[in-house]
Amino acid sequence: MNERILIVEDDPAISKLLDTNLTVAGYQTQCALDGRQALNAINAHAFDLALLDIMLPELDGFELLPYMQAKQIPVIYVSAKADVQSRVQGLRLGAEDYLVKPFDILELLVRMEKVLARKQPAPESITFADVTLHAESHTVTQGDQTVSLKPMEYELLRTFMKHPGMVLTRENLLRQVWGDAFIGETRTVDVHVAALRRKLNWNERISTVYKLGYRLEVEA
Amino acid sequence: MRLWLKQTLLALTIILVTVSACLYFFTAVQTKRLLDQAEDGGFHSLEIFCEHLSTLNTTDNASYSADETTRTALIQYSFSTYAHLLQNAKSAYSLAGVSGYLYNITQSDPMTLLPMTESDLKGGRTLRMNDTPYLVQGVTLQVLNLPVTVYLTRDLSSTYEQIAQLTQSAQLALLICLMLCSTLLPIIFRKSLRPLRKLTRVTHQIADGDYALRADITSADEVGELSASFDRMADTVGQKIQSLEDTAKRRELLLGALTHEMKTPMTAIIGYSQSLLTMPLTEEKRMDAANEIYEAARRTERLSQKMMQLIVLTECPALNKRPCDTAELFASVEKVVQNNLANKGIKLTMNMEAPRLYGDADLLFTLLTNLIDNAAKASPTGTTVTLSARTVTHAVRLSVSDEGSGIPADKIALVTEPFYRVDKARSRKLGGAGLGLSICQMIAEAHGGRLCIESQVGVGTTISVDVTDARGLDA
Repeated sequence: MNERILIVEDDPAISKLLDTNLTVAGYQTQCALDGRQALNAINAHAFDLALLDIMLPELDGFELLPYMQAKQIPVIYVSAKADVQSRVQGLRLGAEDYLVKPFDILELLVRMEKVLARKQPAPESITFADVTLHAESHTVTQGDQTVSLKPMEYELLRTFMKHPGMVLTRENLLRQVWGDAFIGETRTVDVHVAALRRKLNWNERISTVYKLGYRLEVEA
Repeated sequence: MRLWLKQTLLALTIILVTVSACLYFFTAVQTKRLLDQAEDGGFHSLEIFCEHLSTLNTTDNASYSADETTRTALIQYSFSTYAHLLQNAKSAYSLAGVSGYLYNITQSDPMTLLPMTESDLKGGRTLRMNDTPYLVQGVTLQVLNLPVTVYLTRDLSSTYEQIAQLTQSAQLALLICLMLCSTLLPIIFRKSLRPLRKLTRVTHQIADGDYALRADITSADEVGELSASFDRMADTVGQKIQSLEDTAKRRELLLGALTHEMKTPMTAIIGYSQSLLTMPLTEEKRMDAANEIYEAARRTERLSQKMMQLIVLTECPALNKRPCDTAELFASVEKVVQNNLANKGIKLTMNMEAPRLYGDADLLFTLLTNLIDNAAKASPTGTTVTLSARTVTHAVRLSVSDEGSGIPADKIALVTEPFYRVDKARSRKLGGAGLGLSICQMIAEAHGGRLCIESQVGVGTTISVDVTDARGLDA
């Protein structure tokens, strides 16, 4: 996970916010504060994904899209414009996704992963500590032992392993793993987390964060 | 029923009645004249006949002295001679004595027909025999001392034919008149009502939302007047709608801009706090995030304050206008801006030509501090900001000049729009909410003026506003 992300955002605070979080999540980032800088950046470097604001000085987000497409850089719009017209316009022009400010950081990360996964020919396997997640066979091994997980436990583990060190709230996990339909039933998350801790003997690894949710600890 | 049809039917009825009455009157008069003529002609003929017959009276006295039978025979003879001479296919004479007809070759019986009074005899009587109209007239006279009556029976066919022709002509004239009117009137009425139909069409189209449309009928009649006032009404309504739409649009833009302005700091606050809560950040990054939250919250606070000011000014500009001292106003402004200017190394000079002015001191204070803050933001260190009050015609001109970066000419009209910033990034960095000049503009408008912005890029900006001079009011 070393993809290069271009952040095009004219407000320095928001630009820095995206930069900090993406860096922590393990991405390589570059910031552009206006449309012109964004053009220079894509001409100088290759990028795997671009996060575009719409209202930008020089060239706006919609005008930038064709240049991104010419370089085959997938685009996610991150805009304050919440109206349906802008969303439809953005998606119709060929953006991969459209996020409205203020955004949830985990949601942004997950959406970015989905867009990036589309570019990859095969899903990648993830290893964290002694646990490996085999994406193609949907199996999990710990050392040389195969661990038997239910589908939802597998998805939950994958989400934890994708975002080590991040606090994942119960709501976040429900939305990302179970989908919007299960919002509200946070007990489900607790039950599955308990199962994961038991099966992997990860009582210490998956820690409970008071009032918020769970975190996969980077250092045991 | 359509108006043109109504008018046509009404006009046709009136014309028909009038024309028929006229024609009837004319025909009646003509008929009477013809009949009178015939009567006069008959009487005239009778008179001539009688004159001839009366020549018997001038003959010798021997005839008078003859007995009655002889005289009667003489009269009869004389009559028949003349009658044969004067009668023709159309008229015949008859003679009656006291005891009966002396001579009658007609089939009629004038004696029974006409009572023996002079006027009746003269006027005569018409009668019909074998479908032919006849006029019978008579004259009574004394011939050889014997009273006799001469009757004339005349065929009046030709007169009656004339009368019939006259009636026919009148009917024909009526028919032609009716036909002409019934074809021409609808055409004329429809044509005269055409502008009304156009007006109706335009009304419908305007009702359907095409407010730019006008009837534009230039005729000098009532329809023209109606069209003109209709167009005037459409103009007024159009302007009203336009201004309402403009207001709604401006409000929508303001609201949209406000939402956007609120969204940026909100995104920062939510994003950074979420990062603090959930992301494994280094200590340095954590401080950074906390600082960003603080800055964004401050920005939101400033924005809401300015917004409140703007809303208060928009909704209820409760003005407390009174004469005030320029020096006092300037001193309070100086006290507030002094620190800020000194920190930036900018000098403030004040120029108080006009000693007194009339206005709301609190609002003017806000106006001037806003303008000076703006000037300070645009000015580099070591320059001067000038605050002045000069007397112009019937007013005091307050102005703030700087030697700063200036405003590009094409942006001057936009700078008073809420949330408009010439240099967005710079303005944010300097803590601007993008509302200062909008507030200034509202204050200027509350004082009956407008901001006058003169600027040259790289040279500086002068923003001035005219307020009422208090000197006239003091007196």
